[in-house]
Amino acid sequence: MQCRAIQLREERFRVASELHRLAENPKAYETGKDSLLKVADDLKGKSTLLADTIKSYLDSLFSTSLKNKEDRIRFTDLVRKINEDKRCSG
Amino acid sequence: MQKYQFVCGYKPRFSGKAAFRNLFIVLLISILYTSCIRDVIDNNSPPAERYDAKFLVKYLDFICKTARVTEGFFPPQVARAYGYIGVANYEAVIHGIDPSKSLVHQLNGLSNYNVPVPERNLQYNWAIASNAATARMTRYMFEKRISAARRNTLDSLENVTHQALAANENPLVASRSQKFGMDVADVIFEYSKVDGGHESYLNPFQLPFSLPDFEHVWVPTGAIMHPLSPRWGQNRPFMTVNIALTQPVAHTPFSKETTTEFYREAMIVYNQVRNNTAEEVEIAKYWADDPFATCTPAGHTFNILMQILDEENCTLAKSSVGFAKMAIAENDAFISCWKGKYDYNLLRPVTYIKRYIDPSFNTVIGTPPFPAYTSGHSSEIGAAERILTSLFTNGSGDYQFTDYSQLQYGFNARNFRNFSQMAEECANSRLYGGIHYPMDNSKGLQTGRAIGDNVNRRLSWPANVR
Repeated sequence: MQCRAIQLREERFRVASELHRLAENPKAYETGKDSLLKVADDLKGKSTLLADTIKSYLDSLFSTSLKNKEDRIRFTDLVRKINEDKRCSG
Repeated sequence: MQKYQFVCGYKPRFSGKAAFRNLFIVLLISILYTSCIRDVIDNNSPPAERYDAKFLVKYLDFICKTARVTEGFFPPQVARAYGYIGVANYEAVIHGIDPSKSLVHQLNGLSNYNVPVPERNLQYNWAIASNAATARMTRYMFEKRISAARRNTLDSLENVTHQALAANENPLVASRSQKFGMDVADVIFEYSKVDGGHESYLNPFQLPFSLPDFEHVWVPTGAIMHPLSPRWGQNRPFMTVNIALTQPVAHTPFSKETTTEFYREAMIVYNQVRNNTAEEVEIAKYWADDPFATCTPAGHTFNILMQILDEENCTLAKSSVGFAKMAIAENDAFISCWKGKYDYNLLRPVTYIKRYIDPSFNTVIGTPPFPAYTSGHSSEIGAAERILTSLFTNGSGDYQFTDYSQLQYGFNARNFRNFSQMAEECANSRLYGGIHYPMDNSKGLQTGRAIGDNVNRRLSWPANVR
Protein backbone atom coordinates (compact mmCIF):
# COMPACT_ATOMS: atom_id res chain seq x y z
CA MET A 1 0.00 0.00 0.00
CA GLN A 2 2.76 2.39 0.95
CA CYS A 3 4.55 1.68 -2.32
CA ARG A 4 1.39 2.51 -4.26
CA ALA A 5 0.97 5.69 -2.18
CA ILE A 6 4.49 6.75 -3.19
CA GLN A 7 3.67 6.15 -6.84
CA LEU A 8 0.46 8.18 -6.58
CA ARG A 9 2.31 10.96 -4.82
CA GLU A 10 4.81 11.22 -7.66
CA GLU A 11 2.00 11.17 -10.20
CA ARG A 12 0.28 14.04 -8.35
CA PHE A 13 3.42 16.16 -8.47
CA ARG A 14 3.96 15.29 -12.12
CA VAL A 15 0.40 16.30 -13.11
CA ALA A 16 0.64 19.51 -11.05
CA SER A 17 3.88 20.41 -12.86
CA GLU A 18 2.32 19.66 -16.23
CA LEU A 19 -0.64 21.88 -15.41
CA HIS A 20 1.72 24.69 -14.42
CA ARG A 21 3.76 24.30 -17.57
CA LEU A 22 0.69 24.09 -19.79
CA ALA A 23 -0.69 27.28 -18.24
CA GLU A 24 2.29 29.22 -19.60
CA ASN A 25 0.84 28.83 -23.07
CA PRO A 26 -2.81 29.98 -23.01
CA LYS A 27 -3.67 28.32 -26.32
CA ALA A 28 -2.23 24.96 -25.36
CA TYR A 29 -3.84 25.28 -21.93
CA GLU A 30 -7.30 25.79 -23.41
CA THR A 31 -7.02 22.65 -25.51
CA GLY A 32 -5.18 20.44 -23.03
CA LYS A 33 -6.57 21.43 -19.65
CA ASP A 34 -9.71 19.28 -19.64
CA SER A 35 -7.90 16.01 -20.06
CA LEU A 36 -5.25 16.95 -17.46
CA LEU A 37 -7.84 18.11 -14.94
CA LYS A 38 -9.66 14.81 -15.42
CA VAL A 39 -6.42 12.96 -14.66
CA ALA A 40 -5.93 15.20 -11.61
CA ASP A 41 -9.43 14.48 -10.33
CA ASP A 42 -8.93 10.77 -10.82
CA LEU A 43 -5.61 10.93 -8.96
CA LYS A 44 -7.17 12.88 -6.13
CA GLY A 45 -9.88 10.24 -5.75
CA LYS A 46 -7.39 7.37 -5.76
CA SER A 47 -4.97 9.16 -3.42
CA THR A 48 -7.55 10.10 -0.79
CA LEU A 49 -9.07 6.62 -0.84
CA LEU A 50 -5.67 5.02 -0.35
CA ALA A 51 -4.74 7.63 2.28
CA ASP A 52 -7.85 6.72 4.27
CA THR A 53 -7.02 3.03 4.06
CA ILE A 54 -3.42 3.55 5.18
CA LYS A 55 -4.51 5.89 7.99
CA SER A 56 -7.08 3.38 9.31
CA TYR A 57 -4.49 0.62 9.16
CA LEU A 58 -1.92 2.74 11.00
CA ASP A 59 -4.46 3.84 13.63
CA SER A 60 -5.32 0.25 14.28
CA LEU A 61 -1.65 -0.81 14.47
CA PHE A 62 -0.74 2.10 16.73
CA SER A 63 -3.58 1.41 19.14
CA THR A 64 -2.88 -2.31 19.42
CA SER A 65 0.61 -3.63 18.71
CA LEU A 66 2.66 -0.43 18.32
CA LYS A 67 1.75 1.43 21.47
CA ASN A 68 5.10 2.92 22.40
CA LYS A 69 7.16 5.42 20.50
CA GLU A 70 10.21 3.19 20.03
CA ASP A 71 8.16 0.43 18.38
CA ARG A 72 6.56 2.94 16.07
CA ILE A 73 9.90 4.37 15.01
CA ARG A 74 11.25 0.85 14.37
CA PHE A 75 8.16 0.06 12.33
CA THR A 76 8.36 3.17 10.15
CA ASP A 77 12.09 2.66 9.64
CA LEU A 78 11.31 -0.84 8.44
CA VAL A 79 8.66 0.47 6.04
CA ARG A 80 11.19 2.98 4.73
CA LYS A 81 13.75 0.21 4.19
CA ILE A 82 11.25 -2.02 2.37
CA ASN A 83 10.23 0.84 0.09
CA GLU A 84 13.85 1.61 -0.70
CA ASP A 85 14.59 -2.05 -1.45
CA LYS A 86 11.54 -2.27 -3.69
CA ARG A 87 12.62 1.00 -5.33
CA CYS A 88 9.13 2.40 -4.97
CA SER A 89 8.83 5.57 -7.00
CA GLY A 90 6.69 7.17 -9.63
CA MET B 1 2.76 56.92 62.18
CA GLN B 2 3.40 53.19 62.10
CA LYS B 3 6.58 52.23 60.27
CA TYR B 4 6.58 48.75 58.73
CA GLN B 5 9.81 46.85 58.61
CA PHE B 6 9.47 43.64 56.66
CA VAL B 7 12.64 41.96 57.76
CA CYS B 8 13.05 38.36 58.84
CA GLY B 9 11.77 37.70 62.35
CA TYR B 10 10.28 41.13 62.85
CA LYS B 11 6.52 41.32 63.27
CA PRO B 12 5.17 44.80 62.80
CA ARG B 13 2.44 45.90 65.20
CA PHE B 14 -0.61 47.28 63.44
CA SER B 15 -3.12 49.65 64.86
CA GLY B 16 -6.76 48.55 64.50
CA LYS B 17 -7.35 50.98 61.64
CA ALA B 18 -4.19 49.92 59.81
CA ALA B 19 -4.99 46.25 60.31
CA PHE B 20 -8.45 46.77 58.84
CA ARG B 21 -6.99 48.64 55.90
CA ASN B 22 -4.44 45.90 55.26
CA LEU B 23 -7.05 43.21 55.52
CA PHE B 24 -9.13 45.10 52.96
CA ILE B 25 -6.16 45.38 50.59
CA VAL B 26 -5.40 41.67 50.91
CA LEU B 27 -9.02 40.80 50.24
CA LEU B 28 -9.15 43.12 47.25
CA ILE B 29 -5.98 41.62 45.78
CA SER B 30 -7.34 38.11 46.32
CA ILE B 31 -10.59 38.97 44.58
CA LEU B 32 -8.80 40.62 41.66
CA TYR B 33 -6.37 37.70 41.33
CA THR B 34 -9.15 35.15 41.41
CA SER B 35 -11.19 37.04 38.84
CA CYS B 36 -8.15 37.15 36.56
CA ILE B 37 -7.58 33.44 36.50
CA ARG B 38 -11.06 32.08 37.06
CA ASP B 39 -14.47 32.78 35.69
CA VAL B 40 -15.90 29.29 35.59
CA ILE B 41 -19.32 28.65 37.05
CA ASP B 42 -19.46 26.50 40.18
CA ASN B 43 -21.04 23.19 39.44
CA ASN B 44 -21.04 19.69 40.84
CA SER B 45 -19.70 18.08 37.70
CA PRO B 46 -16.73 15.73 37.36
CA PRO B 47 -13.83 17.74 35.90
CA ALA B 48 -12.90 17.60 32.21
CA GLU B 49 -9.65 15.89 33.24
CA ARG B 50 -11.77 12.84 34.09
CA TYR B 51 -12.54 12.17 30.41
CA ASP B 52 -10.26 10.88 27.72
CA ALA B 53 -10.08 12.72 24.41
CA LYS B 54 -10.01 9.94 21.84
CA PHE B 55 -13.27 11.20 20.38
CA LEU B 56 -11.86 14.72 19.98
CA VAL B 57 -8.90 13.28 18.06
CA LYS B 58 -11.44 11.61 15.75
CA TYR B 59 -13.03 15.00 15.07
CA LEU B 60 -9.65 16.49 14.18
CA ASP B 61 -9.19 13.64 11.74
CA PHE B 62 -12.67 14.20 10.35
CA ILE B 63 -12.03 17.92 9.80
CA CYS B 64 -8.85 17.14 7.86
CA LYS B 65 -10.54 14.56 5.66
CA THR B 66 -13.46 16.88 5.02
CA ALA B 67 -11.27 19.88 4.17
CA ARG B 68 -9.37 17.65 1.76
CA VAL B 69 -12.40 16.86 -0.38
CA THR B 70 -14.59 19.93 0.04
CA GLU B 71 -14.47 22.52 -2.72
CA GLY B 72 -13.28 26.01 -1.78
CA PHE B 73 -11.19 25.00 1.22
CA PHE B 74 -7.74 26.51 0.65
CA PRO B 75 -5.23 27.09 3.48
CA PRO B 76 -6.85 30.24 4.98
CA GLN B 77 -10.32 28.70 4.85
CA VAL B 78 -9.09 25.49 6.47
CA ALA B 79 -7.31 27.37 9.29
CA ARG B 80 -10.47 29.37 9.94
CA ALA B 81 -12.63 26.23 10.14
CA TYR B 82 -10.29 24.66 12.70
CA GLY B 83 -10.21 28.05 14.46
CA TYR B 84 -13.88 28.37 15.26
CA ILE B 85 -14.36 24.66 15.97
CA GLY B 86 -11.49 24.85 18.49
CA VAL B 87 -12.99 27.89 20.22
CA ALA B 88 -16.47 26.33 20.37
CA ASN B 89 -15.10 23.14 21.89
CA TYR B 90 -13.10 25.10 24.46
CA GLU B 91 -16.12 27.12 25.59
CA ALA B 92 -18.10 23.90 25.92
CA VAL B 93 -15.63 22.33 28.38
CA ILE B 94 -14.02 25.33 30.11
CA HIS B 95 -16.35 25.16 33.11
CA GLY B 96 -14.99 21.69 33.75
CA ILE B 97 -11.44 23.03 34.15
CA ASP B 98 -10.86 24.88 37.41
CA PRO B 99 -9.20 27.30 37.77
CA SER B 100 -9.52 28.62 34.26
CA LYS B 101 -10.84 31.52 32.31
CA SER B 102 -13.32 31.53 29.47
CA LEU B 103 -12.24 33.11 26.18
CA VAL B 104 -15.33 35.33 26.20
CA HIS B 105 -13.58 38.41 27.58
CA GLN B 106 -10.28 37.58 25.92
CA LEU B 107 -11.04 37.15 22.23
CA ASN B 108 -11.69 40.08 19.95
CA GLY B 109 -15.41 40.96 20.09
CA LEU B 110 -16.61 37.74 21.70
CA SER B 111 -17.94 39.52 24.79
CA ASN B 112 -20.61 41.09 22.56
CA TYR B 113 -22.18 37.66 22.30
CA ASN B 114 -24.12 35.86 24.97
CA VAL B 115 -22.00 32.72 25.19
CA PRO B 116 -23.93 30.28 27.37
CA VAL B 117 -22.68 29.32 30.83
CA PRO B 118 -23.79 26.23 32.71
CA GLU B 119 -26.51 26.52 35.31
CA ARG B 120 -25.06 26.92 38.77
CA ASN B 121 -24.98 23.75 40.88
CA LEU B 122 -26.34 21.52 38.14
CA GLN B 123 -24.27 18.63 36.90
CA TYR B 124 -22.78 18.44 33.39
CA ASN B 125 -20.82 15.86 31.46
CA TRP B 126 -18.10 17.86 29.68
CA ALA B 127 -17.32 15.14 27.17
CA ILE B 128 -20.94 15.09 26.02
CA ALA B 129 -20.93 18.89 25.80
CA SER B 130 -17.68 18.80 23.83
CA ASN B 131 -19.01 16.19 21.42
CA ALA B 132 -22.16 18.20 20.76
CA ALA B 133 -20.34 21.54 20.34
CA THR B 134 -17.62 20.13 18.09
CA ALA B 135 -20.00 18.24 15.82
CA ARG B 136 -22.35 21.19 15.46
CA MET B 137 -19.58 23.70 14.81
CA THR B 138 -17.97 21.37 12.25
CA ARG B 139 -21.30 21.14 10.45
CA TYR B 140 -21.56 24.95 10.43
CA MET B 141 -18.04 25.47 9.12
CA PHE B 142 -18.53 23.26 6.06
CA GLU B 143 -22.29 23.81 5.84
CA LYS B 144 -22.94 24.73 2.22
CA ARG B 145 -20.37 22.56 0.51
CA ILE B 146 -20.10 19.40 2.60
CA SER B 147 -21.02 16.28 0.65
CA ALA B 148 -23.87 14.04 1.75
CA ALA B 149 -21.36 11.27 2.46
CA ARG B 150 -19.22 13.48 4.72
CA ARG B 151 -22.34 14.78 6.48
CA ASN B 152 -23.47 11.22 7.15
CA THR B 153 -20.04 10.34 8.52
CA LEU B 154 -20.21 13.36 10.83
CA ASP B 155 -23.72 12.47 12.01
CA SER B 156 -22.55 8.95 12.69
CA LEU B 157 -19.43 10.11 14.58
CA GLU B 158 -21.55 12.41 16.73
CA ASN B 159 -24.23 9.80 17.46
CA VAL B 160 -21.86 6.93 18.21
CA THR B 161 -19.79 9.17 20.50
CA HIS B 162 -22.86 10.52 22.28
CA GLN B 163 -24.30 7.07 22.84
CA ALA B 164 -21.02 5.76 24.24
CA LEU B 165 -20.64 8.74 26.58
CA ALA B 166 -24.29 8.81 27.63
CA ALA B 167 -24.46 5.08 28.34
CA ASN B 168 -23.22 5.49 31.89
CA GLU B 169 -24.64 8.92 32.51
CA ASN B 170 -27.82 10.19 34.14
CA PRO B 171 -30.14 10.91 31.16
CA LEU B 172 -30.94 14.38 32.48
CA VAL B 173 -27.26 15.23 32.77
CA ALA B 174 -26.63 13.82 29.30
CA SER B 175 -29.36 15.85 27.61
CA ARG B 176 -28.47 19.03 29.56
CA SER B 177 -24.83 18.67 28.54
CA GLN B 178 -25.69 17.99 24.93
CA LYS B 179 -27.93 21.05 24.78
CA PHE B 180 -25.26 23.17 26.43
CA GLY B 181 -22.69 22.13 23.81
CA MET B 182 -25.08 22.84 20.96
CA ASP B 183 -26.00 26.25 22.41
CA VAL B 184 -22.33 27.19 22.71
CA ALA B 185 -21.73 26.23 19.06
CA ASP B 186 -24.74 28.29 17.94
CA VAL B 187 -23.37 31.43 19.58
CA ILE B 188 -19.80 30.89 18.36
CA PHE B 189 -21.21 30.45 14.86
CA GLU B 190 -22.97 33.82 15.16
CA TYR B 191 -19.66 35.31 16.30
CA SER B 192 -17.91 33.76 13.28
CA LYS B 193 -20.38 35.19 10.77
CA VAL B 194 -19.03 38.74 10.93
CA ASP B 195 -15.26 38.07 10.87
CA GLY B 196 -15.01 38.54 7.10
CA GLY B 197 -14.44 34.87 6.29
CA HIS B 198 -18.00 33.57 6.63
CA GLU B 199 -18.75 31.07 3.84
CA SER B 200 -15.61 32.27 2.06
CA TYR B 201 -15.31 28.79 0.57
CA LEU B 202 -18.11 29.80 -1.82
CA ASN B 203 -15.88 32.51 -3.33
CA PRO B 204 -12.33 31.84 -2.13
CA PHE B 205 -10.80 34.17 -4.73
CA GLN B 206 -13.02 37.04 -3.53
CA LEU B 207 -13.77 38.18 -7.06
CA PRO B 208 -13.90 40.73 -8.49
CA PHE B 209 -10.38 41.78 -7.58
CA SER B 210 -7.47 43.16 -9.52
CA LEU B 211 -3.89 44.00 -8.64
CA PRO B 212 -1.99 47.10 -9.75
CA ASP B 213 0.20 46.72 -12.80
CA PHE B 214 3.78 47.29 -11.64
CA GLU B 215 6.93 45.38 -12.43
CA HIS B 216 7.31 44.03 -8.89
CA VAL B 217 3.68 42.94 -8.52
CA TRP B 218 2.49 39.34 -8.46
CA VAL B 219 1.24 37.80 -11.68
CA PRO B 220 -0.30 34.34 -12.14
CA THR B 221 2.26 31.55 -12.14
CA GLY B 222 0.08 28.64 -13.15
CA ALA B 223 -3.35 27.59 -14.21
CA ILE B 224 -5.15 29.72 -11.62
CA MET B 225 -5.42 33.27 -12.92
CA HIS B 226 -6.65 34.98 -9.76
CA PRO B 227 -4.86 35.48 -6.45
CA LEU B 228 -6.35 33.58 -3.53
CA SER B 229 -8.40 35.43 -0.90
CA PRO B 230 -6.94 38.92 -1.44
CA ARG B 231 -9.05 40.49 1.32
CA TRP B 232 -8.32 37.84 3.94
CA GLY B 233 -5.95 40.20 5.75
CA GLN B 234 -8.93 42.42 6.60
CA ASN B 235 -10.65 39.61 8.52
CA ARG B 236 -11.20 40.03 12.23
CA PRO B 237 -8.52 38.08 14.09
CA PHE B 238 -9.14 36.38 17.42
CA MET B 239 -6.49 38.68 18.90
CA THR B 240 -5.98 42.20 17.53
CA VAL B 241 -2.31 42.19 18.55
CA ASN B 242 -1.75 39.22 16.27
CA ILE B 243 -2.20 41.51 13.29
CA ALA B 244 -1.26 44.93 14.65
CA LEU B 245 2.02 43.91 16.26
CA THR B 246 3.27 41.18 13.97
CA GLN B 247 3.42 42.71 10.51
CA PRO B 248 6.78 42.18 8.82
CA VAL B 249 8.99 45.10 7.89
CA ALA B 250 9.01 45.96 4.19
CA HIS B 251 10.81 43.40 2.05
CA THR B 252 14.15 44.12 0.40
CA PRO B 253 13.44 46.78 -2.27
CA PHE B 254 12.59 45.28 -5.63
CA SER B 255 15.31 45.63 -8.23
CA LYS B 256 16.45 43.78 -11.32
CA GLU B 257 20.02 45.06 -11.01
CA THR B 258 22.44 42.20 -10.50
CA THR B 259 24.27 43.95 -7.68
CA THR B 260 21.22 44.38 -5.46
CA GLU B 261 20.04 42.46 -2.43
CA PHE B 262 16.78 41.56 -4.20
CA TYR B 263 18.63 39.98 -7.11
CA ARG B 264 20.75 38.08 -4.60
CA GLU B 265 17.59 36.70 -2.94
CA ALA B 266 16.38 35.43 -6.31
CA MET B 267 19.79 33.95 -7.10
CA ILE B 268 19.70 31.99 -3.83
CA VAL B 269 16.42 30.40 -4.96
CA TYR B 270 17.79 29.75 -8.44
CA ASN B 271 20.99 28.12 -7.19
CA GLN B 272 19.18 26.16 -4.51
CA VAL B 273 16.81 24.57 -7.03
CA ARG B 274 19.67 23.75 -9.41
CA ASN B 275 21.70 22.13 -6.66
CA ASN B 276 19.01 20.53 -4.49
CA THR B 277 19.98 17.20 -2.98
CA ALA B 278 17.54 14.29 -3.18
CA GLU B 279 16.79 14.84 0.51
CA GLU B 280 15.98 18.52 -0.09
CA VAL B 281 13.60 17.61 -2.92
CA GLU B 282 11.96 15.11 -0.59
CA ILE B 283 11.61 17.80 2.10
CA ALA B 284 10.10 20.24 -0.42
CA LYS B 285 7.46 17.69 -1.38
CA TYR B 286 6.88 16.49 2.19
CA TRP B 287 5.84 19.95 3.38
CA ALA B 288 4.12 20.95 0.12
CA ASP B 289 0.79 19.72 1.56
CA ASP B 290 -0.54 19.64 -1.96
CA PRO B 291 -4.22 20.54 -2.33
CA PHE B 292 -4.70 17.61 -4.70
CA ALA B 293 -4.88 15.20 -1.80
CA THR B 294 -3.98 16.71 1.58
CA CYS B 295 -5.74 19.01 4.03
CA THR B 296 -3.31 21.94 3.46
CA PRO B 297 -0.51 23.14 5.80
CA ALA B 298 -2.91 24.02 8.63
CA GLY B 299 -4.31 20.49 8.43
CA HIS B 300 -0.82 19.01 8.51
CA THR B 301 -0.11 20.99 11.68
CA PHE B 302 -3.34 19.85 13.32
CA ASN B 303 -2.48 16.27 12.34
CA ILE B 304 0.79 16.64 14.25
CA LEU B 305 -1.08 18.07 17.25
CA MET B 306 -3.62 15.25 17.04
CA GLN B 307 -0.88 12.62 16.94
CA ILE B 308 0.93 13.99 19.99
CA LEU B 309 -2.27 14.48 22.03
CA ASP B 310 -3.03 10.85 21.30
CA GLU B 311 0.49 9.58 22.06
CA GLU B 312 0.54 11.49 25.35
CA ASN B 313 -2.91 10.14 26.33
CA CYS B 314 -4.03 13.68 27.03
CA THR B 315 -7.32 14.17 28.81
CA LEU B 316 -10.24 16.13 27.42
CA ALA B 317 -9.03 19.14 29.43
CA LYS B 318 -5.53 19.24 27.98
CA SER B 319 -6.70 18.32 24.48
CA SER B 320 -9.24 21.14 24.53
CA VAL B 321 -6.61 23.63 25.65
CA GLY B 322 -4.24 22.37 22.93
CA PHE B 323 -6.93 22.50 20.26
CA ALA B 324 -8.02 26.02 21.24
CA LYS B 325 -4.48 27.43 21.41
CA MET B 326 -3.59 26.00 18.02
CA ALA B 327 -6.95 27.05 16.56
CA ILE B 328 -6.47 30.69 17.56
CA ALA B 329 -2.83 30.78 16.50
CA GLU B 330 -3.38 29.18 13.08
CA ASN B 331 -6.42 31.30 12.23
CA ASP B 332 -4.60 34.51 13.13
CA ALA B 333 -1.34 33.43 11.46
CA PHE B 334 -3.14 33.15 8.13
CA ILE B 335 -4.88 36.52 8.55
CA SER B 336 -1.61 38.22 9.50
CA CYS B 337 0.32 36.56 6.69
CA TRP B 338 -2.35 37.33 4.09
CA LYS B 339 -2.40 40.98 5.16
CA GLY B 340 1.33 41.19 4.44
CA LYS B 341 0.96 39.35 1.16
CA TYR B 342 -1.54 41.88 -0.21
CA ASP B 343 0.11 44.91 1.35
CA TYR B 344 3.25 44.10 -0.65
CA ASN B 345 1.89 42.05 -3.60
CA LEU B 346 5.37 40.77 -4.32
CA LEU B 347 5.95 38.65 -7.39
CA ARG B 348 7.07 35.04 -6.97
CA PRO B 349 10.65 33.88 -7.55
CA VAL B 350 9.62 31.87 -10.62
CA THR B 351 8.35 35.05 -12.30
CA TYR B 352 11.46 37.05 -11.41
CA ILE B 353 13.92 34.31 -12.36
CA LYS B 354 12.26 33.64 -15.72
CA ARG B 355 12.21 37.36 -16.53
CA TYR B 356 15.68 38.40 -15.40
CA ILE B 357 17.87 35.32 -14.84
CA ASP B 358 16.92 32.18 -16.75
CA PRO B 359 13.73 31.79 -18.87
CA SER B 360 13.96 28.01 -18.64
CA PHE B 361 13.74 27.91 -14.83
CA ASN B 362 11.22 25.55 -13.25
CA THR B 363 10.28 25.07 -9.62
CA VAL B 364 10.35 21.73 -7.81
CA ILE B 365 6.75 22.04 -6.64
CA GLY B 366 3.92 24.16 -7.99
CA THR B 367 3.88 27.83 -6.99
CA PRO B 368 0.61 28.61 -5.18
CA PRO B 369 -1.62 31.38 -6.57
CA PHE B 370 -0.85 34.32 -4.28
CA PRO B 371 1.98 36.81 -3.64
CA ALA B 372 5.28 35.75 -2.11
CA TYR B 373 5.99 37.93 0.91
CA THR B 374 5.69 36.34 3.50
CA SER B 375 5.42 32.56 3.36
CA GLY B 376 2.14 31.11 4.63
CA HIS B 377 3.77 27.81 5.58
CA SER B 378 6.46 29.59 7.57
CA SER B 379 3.95 31.79 9.38
CA GLU B 380 1.66 28.97 10.40
CA ILE B 381 4.44 26.57 11.40
CA GLY B 382 6.16 29.32 13.43
CA ALA B 383 2.94 29.78 15.40
CA ALA B 384 2.56 26.00 15.75
CA GLU B 385 6.14 25.64 17.01
CA ARG B 386 5.41 27.97 19.92
CA ILE B 387 2.07 26.36 20.76
CA LEU B 388 3.47 22.81 20.70
CA THR B 389 6.44 23.91 22.80
CA SER B 390 4.13 25.38 25.43
CA LEU B 391 1.89 22.30 25.44
CA PHE B 392 4.43 19.50 25.54
CA THR B 393 7.68 20.85 26.98
CA ASN B 394 8.73 22.75 30.06
CA GLY B 395 9.53 25.70 27.80
CA SER B 396 12.86 24.33 26.60
CA GLY B 397 11.37 23.12 23.36
CA ASP B 398 13.09 19.74 23.68
CA TYR B 399 10.72 17.08 22.48
CA GLN B 400 11.74 14.26 20.19
CA PHE B 401 8.94 13.16 17.95
CA THR B 402 8.19 11.47 14.66
CA ASP B 403 5.64 12.93 12.28
CA TYR B 404 3.64 10.00 10.89
CA SER B 405 0.93 12.15 9.36
CA GLN B 406 2.32 12.05 5.82
CA LEU B 407 2.72 8.26 5.60
CA GLN B 408 -0.80 8.11 4.20
CA TYR B 409 0.24 10.37 1.33
CA GLY B 410 3.23 8.30 0.27
CA PHE B 411 6.00 9.86 2.40
CA ASN B 412 8.29 8.32 4.95
CA ALA B 413 7.86 9.42 8.56
CA ARG B 414 10.22 12.22 9.61
CA ASN B 415 12.00 12.48 12.97
CA PHE B 416 12.57 15.78 14.78
CA ARG B 417 14.65 16.68 17.83
CA ASN B 418 12.26 19.46 18.78
CA PHE B 419 9.53 21.71 17.42
CA SER B 420 11.98 24.39 16.31
CA GLN B 421 13.74 21.92 14.02
CA MET B 422 10.37 20.97 12.56
CA ALA B 423 9.48 24.63 11.93
CA GLU B 424 12.86 25.47 10.38
CA GLU B 425 12.63 22.46 8.06
CA CYS B 426 9.12 23.39 6.97
CA ALA B 427 10.17 27.01 6.26
CA ASN B 428 13.28 25.92 4.35
CA SER B 429 11.20 23.49 2.30
CA ARG B 430 9.70 26.49 0.49
CA LEU B 431 13.18 27.56 -0.62
CA TYR B 432 14.05 24.00 -1.73
CA GLY B 433 10.78 23.97 -3.67
CA GLY B 434 11.79 27.18 -5.47
CA ILE B 435 8.62 29.00 -4.56
CA HIS B 436 9.78 31.49 -1.88
CA TYR B 437 12.66 33.91 -1.41
CA PRO B 438 14.68 33.32 1.79
CA MET B 439 13.25 36.57 3.27
CA ASP B 440 9.67 35.24 2.84
CA ASN B 441 10.54 32.28 5.02
CA SER B 442 12.55 34.04 7.71
CA LYS B 443 9.99 36.85 8.14
CA GLY B 444 7.12 34.36 8.00
CA LEU B 445 8.65 32.28 10.78
CA GLN B 446 9.24 35.42 12.83
CA THR B 447 5.61 36.52 12.43
CA GLY B 448 4.26 33.08 13.27
CA ARG B 449 6.42 32.75 16.36
CA ALA B 450 5.25 36.17 17.60
CA ILE B 451 1.64 35.07 17.13
CA GLY B 452 2.24 31.80 18.96
CA ASP B 453 3.85 33.71 21.81
CA ASN B 454 0.90 36.11 21.97
CA VAL B 455 -1.55 33.23 22.20
CA ASN B 456 0.49 31.56 24.94
CA ARG B 457 1.23 34.64 27.00
CA ARG B 458 -1.49 37.21 26.44
CA LEU B 459 -4.42 34.86 26.90
CA SER B 460 -5.09 33.28 30.26
CA TRP B 461 -4.87 29.48 30.03
CA PRO B 462 -5.33 26.90 32.78
CA ALA B 463 -2.00 25.73 34.14
CA ASN B 464 -0.90 22.16 34.72
CA VAL B 465 -3.75 20.44 32.94
CA ARG B 466 -2.97 16.83 32.12
